[in-house]
Formats: sequence, C-alpha cells, structure tokens
Amino acid sequence: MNSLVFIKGVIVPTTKPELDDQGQLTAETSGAILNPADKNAIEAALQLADGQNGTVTVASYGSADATEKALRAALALGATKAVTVNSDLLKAGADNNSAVGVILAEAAKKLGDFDVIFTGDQALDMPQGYVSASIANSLGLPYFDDVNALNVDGDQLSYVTLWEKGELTGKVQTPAVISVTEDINKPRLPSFKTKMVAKRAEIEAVTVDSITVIDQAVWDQLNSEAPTSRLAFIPEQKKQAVIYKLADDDQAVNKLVDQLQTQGIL
Amino acid sequence: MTKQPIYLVLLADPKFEDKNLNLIHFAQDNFDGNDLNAVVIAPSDQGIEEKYGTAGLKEIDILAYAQFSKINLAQTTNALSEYFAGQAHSLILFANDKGATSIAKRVAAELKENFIMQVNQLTVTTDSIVAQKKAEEATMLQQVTLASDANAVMTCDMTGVNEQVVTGSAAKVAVKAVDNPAQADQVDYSALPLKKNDLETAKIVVSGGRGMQGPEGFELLQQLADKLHGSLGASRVAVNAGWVDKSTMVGQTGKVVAPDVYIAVGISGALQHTVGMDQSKCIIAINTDPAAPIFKLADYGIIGDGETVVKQLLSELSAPVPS
Repeated sequence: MNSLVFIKGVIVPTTKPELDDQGQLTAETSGAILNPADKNAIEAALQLADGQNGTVTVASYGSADATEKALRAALALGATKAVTVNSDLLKAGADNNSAVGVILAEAAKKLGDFDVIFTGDQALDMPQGYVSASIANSLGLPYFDDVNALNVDGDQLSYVTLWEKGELTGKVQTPAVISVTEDINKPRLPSFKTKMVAKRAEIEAVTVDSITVIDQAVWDQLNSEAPTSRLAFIPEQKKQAVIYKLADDDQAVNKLVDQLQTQGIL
Repeated sequence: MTKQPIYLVLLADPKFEDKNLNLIHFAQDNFDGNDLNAVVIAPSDQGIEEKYGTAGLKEIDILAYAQFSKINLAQTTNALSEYFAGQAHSLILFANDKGATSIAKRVAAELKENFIMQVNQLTVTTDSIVAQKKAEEATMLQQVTLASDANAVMTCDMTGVNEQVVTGSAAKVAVKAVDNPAQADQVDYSALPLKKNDLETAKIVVSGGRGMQGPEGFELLQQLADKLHGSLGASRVAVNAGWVDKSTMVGQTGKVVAPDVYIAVGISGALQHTVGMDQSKCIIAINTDPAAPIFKLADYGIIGDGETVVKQLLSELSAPVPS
C-alpha cells in the first residue's frame, strides 16, 4: 500500500522555558522535534508498505527549520520520499489555525493518489487532533481517528480504537485518513546509516497557492476567523493537603469521597 | 455576550455514562449572563425534558432517532451538522470523553469552523472570546483568542466540575425528529473486561503496606481496586511478609507507577517506596500515624486505621457502571 504521512516539527521547551512579548517560546529556550505520535504514524505506514513494494511519502508544513528537522527524522526512519508544503494562503499572525487541514488536503491532492493518509493523533506542543479530521472532510474520505491497532485482513484493513471502557472495531475502506495513537506500535529506531542517508537526501516541495478542495467563500470565512494564541505559565499552586481525622470525625470517609467526587478525581 | 447563542451538545446515549450535566455546569461557570441553549441527541425524546428541562437552559432542541448511538460517529456528525448548518450559533460545546471528542472534531470539520480541544476556561468580552487550555505536555497554558462573532466548536475539560447545575425556569423544548438519518457506521463496540493488576498502566492504584497487617487486609484492597477499575500495589514490607504477590511491589526494587490516583493505605512513605509513586497526579494517604512521611506527598488523607477506612470506602463508593 502507498501512504502519505503528514508530520509536524513541534516546538517544545529544551530548557527552562521563557516567553517573549507575544507569548511564544523564545528561540533560546525551545527547539523543534518530530512529533512523537507522528513516529507511530510513520511506523504504521512502513508496516503497510513492507514486502508489498509500497511507498511512504512524508510531508510537513510549518516553519522552514521545524519542517526540515521533522522530514529528515522521518527519512531516517525509512520514509521513501519527503516533501515540504509551501503556502502563504493562511492569515498572517494567526495561530492554532483550524484552516491548516485544508492546506494539507490541497497538498495531498497535488501529491497524487494514496491508499492511506496518516497523521499522529495529536501534536505534543498544541494538542488538538483536528488536522486529520479536516483533511478527511476536505477530501471527502472516510476518517478513523485515535486508532490503537491496525491489521491487514486479506485485502482490507481492520482497526481498533480504545474508548474509556471499551473498544470500537471496524474495517477501513481505503482510501482513508487515519490518525494513530502512540500505543499503536513501537516505532523502529534510525540506524547510523539511515541517518547519514537522510542527512543528504533531497527534500521535494509542493506549493499550495489556491484552494480547490473546498468552496472559496467557505475557505475565506474559515481563514479570516482564525484565532491568535499565546502561551502562559501555569500559576504555581502550593500543595495544600486536605486531611481528615477518623478519630475526631466519624464522617471523615464520607467527606473524603464527596471531595474526591466533586474534584472529579474518582 | 456572544452575538449568537451558545449551544451545548448533549449526547444522550443510554448505553454510556455521560457528563451532560457537568457540561451544563461548566458552561454556567464560564458564561455568566449568556443564555445557554442545548441540542440533545438521543434514541427518543422520552425522559429528556424531565432531565434537562429545568437545568438552567433557555432552549432545548431534541434530535431523536431510534438508531442513535454515539459509536456511530459519522452518522451522529451528519445529524448534528445538518442541525447546526441551519441554526445561527456562536460556540458549540461538547464534553471531552473519547466519543464526544471524535464527534466534535468531525462536526467542526464538516461545518468548516474553528476547533479547540480540552478548553478549561472561557472568557467572553465585547470583542473577543478567549479559550484557555493546557499545552506543551500540560506544563503551560495556551490562550486562544477568537473574535466575538467567530464560530467555533470546542470540547471542555471538566476536571473538578460536578453535576450540580444552577436550575432555572422551564426551557423551551422542541422535538426535531430526524426522519432520514444517514447510514449507520459499520462499527462494533465491546466493553473491555476489567484488567487485573496492570499496575504500570492503571489509572488508579490502591496500594497497601505494613498497616494492612496481613493478607486479609490486601483482599479488602483488591476489592477496592476492582471497584475503582484500578490495580493493586504494595510496599516491600507487605511483599516480604508474604501477604501479597511480588508483582505488585511499587518502589525502588519494584515498579514505578504514575497513575491519576494513588491510594496509599498503611504505607508510611519511606523513600524506597515513594520513588516508585511520587509522580502520581493525586495521592491519597491513609495511615494511623499523622507524622508518617506519606502525608507530605498527599493531596488528601485520612488519619485512621487502614482496614476500617477501606471498609467504609467500599460501602461509600458506588461501583462505576461498566459501559
């Protein structure tokens, strides 16, 4: 099977984080890494390609540095081809943009036909899990999210998604968009050799300069409503234990249970 | 005030527990002065008005069709998207369980609206809506600012929000039958058997030490763990005494766990034990000795005899309904 995996170079603190005036991590205290769940998405794609002459194309959209880091890490894991997505259609200054999925859908269309488009279930830095839903919807493809197991079943794929106290199971009709969790598999490790090859490999580019997958007016509306976002530190809360004394209070256990249930702990 | 009404989506699937009342409470806490509407989606309209009619909502629309189940992600998305396409709205709020989250993002994608997941606080001013959520592996907060007339679909992090809604006068209730729901998803759901002693991945660990005084004490702890869908743990003292299997040992020479809730019963809290559990999100200590070091780590505690407290806990806690 041939897969396309959309990956992200997430920006995470490398040391004690500091924020600039815009509420963004400063360059000195942060760096880009390949999003952990995206490694599982790449692994899932590699497993579908193995032994079947399948291909695994990885593509990423974001700042030049973060994108290149993510793509080279993916090549070192065994991806067949790496592509940077370029586009200046997104509203400038917006962040946490729900329109990104539409850009990626457009890129996928330009990159050709795939049996599966994979993503990780969510990004480590700004967890949303939305991009995959938007890609599927924009391309009119079936969508399977937070998949915990994917098995080849004859010429079909079957999947398992874990819920709080049970599991959903079903068959995947390809082509489809699938987002995977970090529990789906154990990503292979890059070797020294694959890292060296990845370092020199050519990265291709695709440019999205117009939107065709959804209606232009709908796109304009979505893009213009994109929010801005900033980070903030969590105000420090001193741990204040709530202790009940059974000897003095025969309702102690009762009160504890009430407290735990009110706080959503039990 | 938002320019258009705020809607809560209440998925009323009788086969699952839901957090619909918690979601109403969350919205009431966050939108003082805004009217709140709800759309309830359910297999039938029976009992819905009784449950939500005076829960402080202004208008309730009930989308009813016999096939409804939240496992039908695409079908439910279809019914909700059609409803909202013809209904002026500002924010659409969902609960944050797996099913609700999956449906929420599909609805956002279908409506082509902003999506924000796990919002824990919302602030509406005349010209903006600020949604706050956790980011960077929950070590920081992210504040997302939307224009006050923007549309957005959100799931709400209801940690610490109970079902105690502020009741109000009777809502205007309308039943909107869904005559031709989309085809049901080709999907099966099966409840998972309770996992015994999967210590490292358990969300709740009930752990005992010297204070349990023998294997009988650990049988009580096992009952408590079962009731909470959790797993049994132990300190080295209890394992060495032969009261409980070695596989349950937590600490330096045992397993390292970091569950959401760690209940330490009759454990003094020596460093050899606490290195194996001090990263737990919420620690509840039960011990006769108020000076026991475990209380320094605890979020909640009871000073008292382990066996007595556990017996009371067992009768106090209603068993979670398996779904």
